Amino acid sequence: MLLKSIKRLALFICISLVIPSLVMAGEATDRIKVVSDKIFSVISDKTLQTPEMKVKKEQMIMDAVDGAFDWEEFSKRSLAKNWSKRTESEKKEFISLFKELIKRTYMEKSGQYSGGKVEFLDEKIDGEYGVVKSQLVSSAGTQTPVDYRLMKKDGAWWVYDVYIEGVSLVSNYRSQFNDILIKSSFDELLKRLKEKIEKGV
Amino acid sequence: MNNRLRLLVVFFITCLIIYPGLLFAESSDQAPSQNSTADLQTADESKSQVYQPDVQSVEEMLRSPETTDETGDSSEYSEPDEFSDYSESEESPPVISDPLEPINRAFFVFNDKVYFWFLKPVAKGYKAIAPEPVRVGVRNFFFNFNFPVRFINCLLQGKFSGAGDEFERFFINSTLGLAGFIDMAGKEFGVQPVDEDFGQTLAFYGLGQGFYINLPILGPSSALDSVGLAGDFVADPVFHTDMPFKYEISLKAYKTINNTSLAIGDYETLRNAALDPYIAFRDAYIQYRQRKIKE
Repeated sequence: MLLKSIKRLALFICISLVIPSLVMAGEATDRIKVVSDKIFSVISDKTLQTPEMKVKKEQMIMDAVDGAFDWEEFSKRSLAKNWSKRTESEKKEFISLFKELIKRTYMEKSGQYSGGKVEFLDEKIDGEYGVVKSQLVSSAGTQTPVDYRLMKKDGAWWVYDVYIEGVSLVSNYRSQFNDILIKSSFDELLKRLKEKIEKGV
Repeated sequence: MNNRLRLLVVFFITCLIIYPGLLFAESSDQAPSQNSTADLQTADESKSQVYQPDVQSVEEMLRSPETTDETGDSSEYSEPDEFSDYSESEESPPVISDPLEPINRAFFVFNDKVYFWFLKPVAKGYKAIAPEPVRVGVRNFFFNFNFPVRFINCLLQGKFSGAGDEFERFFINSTLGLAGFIDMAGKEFGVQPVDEDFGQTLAFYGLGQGFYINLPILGPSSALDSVGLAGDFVADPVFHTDMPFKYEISLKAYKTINNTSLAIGDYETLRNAALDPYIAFRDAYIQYRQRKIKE
């Protein structure tokens, strides 16, 4: 037990020593870095690992993510041309469901990276748009490239898409939503989103 | 050995002959291939409508910002054009035709069962007895052993510096890295692998992906990549050993189990995140390959 916590501590120190040297300067990168630092601090906080604290832990992670993710932009892009056909209330409902779906899935995943680290590799800015390239390194040394696409709104950078291993989250959902919308209706899409969320992961 | 080689060469050539034909059949008109999937739909006619908007919608979204301008606040959609300089994979979201969808879906369900009922439990059991460093070592060993595939395909695409890197990696890892178990080249010398395969080589010479195929056991692929797989199989050194076929298969199975043990949960993540896992994997595969080809 003691040995384990010493190991954890050593790992934590190593990570905190390594991360600053890997960080690339840049507004957009800083924005992501704040989120990832918060998430890492939450998932490595021992007091938050108990089942009773699960809800609080998830809320903390979600708050961090909400601080930099533009869910409306995610929804808009994943519905593409179908977005403009929707009423305001439909849009609102869709945004909250879509957010919930992504939250449910990737919350589970975040736990697996408690022993890992994130490396920021590159940042490119072109006017109002930017790309932050990073990679997740698991404790086994597996590298997963994660790219964030950001856009500037009211002076702040907001994430509107995430590429994991080169696969765009928004495009991936767009192809699914589109398939469902072609074969059935928007109500059916909402129904399936709700079912998926209720069923859990 | 000789018989097998002959069989593979014949298969490879047949694929090469059939492939342009398939491409032609696909591009000339989608009607014949669509008929096979029509039974899933309510009417034959609706299917041809069904497929078209799929392509159109994506193109529309990218090329004409006006379509979404009705709401006034959607002008950001013109972004892919302005930003195309370095949004490599966003300039044209890859779309692949899927005339074999019913069969592909059946194999998707089959592969899903194979994963949950066989591969995952076995990989979990193996994970419990083999410590992580061993499994990482084994993964490195197989990866290093497969060097000829990457090397040959770097050369075929004229990527000489990539071929040089691969050669360097193979040399360092096979000696200092103790027969490939330790990735010395990557860790100590900072030489990263250049992951090229025959599918990418064929795409490099301008061949299109063709249509989507979900292979049993092997998983997502395309007409082009299936041909590429045959090439990779021939270039794999295991193929050139005098090992009986059943051992070769066992070796590949072991490699798969070992790699899976290091990636338990990856498949589930995308599967569980998806409303329609089949479409999610199809899209992910084609996006992933597109990126590999561009690299």
